Amino acid sequence: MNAHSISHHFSVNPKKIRLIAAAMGFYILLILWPAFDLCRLIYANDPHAFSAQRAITAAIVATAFSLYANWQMGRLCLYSHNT
Amino acid sequence: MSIDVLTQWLASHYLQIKFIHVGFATMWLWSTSVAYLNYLVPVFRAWQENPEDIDLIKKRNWVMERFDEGVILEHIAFPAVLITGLSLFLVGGWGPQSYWLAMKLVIVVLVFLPIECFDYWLSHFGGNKAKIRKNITNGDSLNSPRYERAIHFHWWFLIITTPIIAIAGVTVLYLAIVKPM
Repeated sequence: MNAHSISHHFSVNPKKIRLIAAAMGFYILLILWPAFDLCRLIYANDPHAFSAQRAITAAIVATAFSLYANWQMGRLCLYSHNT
Repeated sequence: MSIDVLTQWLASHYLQIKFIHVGFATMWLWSTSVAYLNYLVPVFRAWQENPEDIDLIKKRNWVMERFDEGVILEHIAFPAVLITGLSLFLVGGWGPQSYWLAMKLVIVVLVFLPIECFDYWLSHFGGNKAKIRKNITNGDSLNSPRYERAIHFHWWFLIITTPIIAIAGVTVLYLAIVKPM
């Protein structure tokens, strides 16, 4: 029985979750990893900072995290808890 | 007290400070995990499947208000972790030139700090569900759009931060203990 007047429906869909997961990946790629490399460059004069090898590693980590986040967030709010 | 005296005092208590740091870090990381995984998540998933079930909505509201209280331990631990971490940084001889510490500092400053600031607000200040409920004129949280928005907002926060904390939390713990490179 609906004994209340406002909607309690939670608005979520796979597209929204995918977008959030992708944004997390870009945050790693464009904010976290450059900040780490900058820190290494300033304080340790690291010759590998901002190298192509590091960029590839960052891209792999960001992609892997996005995939994991998409799965984890979807598990929390998209699919039936009986499945 | 000059900085030298403070540094000397901290250096003579290095291992004790490290013990407090690791103790609070584990409290911060895992103090809410049982409540979250076994109480909050199952109730919220059941509510999402039956969004207009009044019993589930009541249960959802109750469990979220309890969770707001439950994170107090986590939120006492977090500043303690920061203070003891800063103390260890001052006297430990490690700096951002160490690969592990640079990565740890980046994660703490750019991931955990923003998340925790937001979490403090959600759980104890403007987003606290019990406070919002008490301010509702007729006290009926089931028909309050503001209360409903606060619940949805907090649930979104938890959905988004779950994968982040799961990975970044364990990563920081690994970096702190193993100190690779």
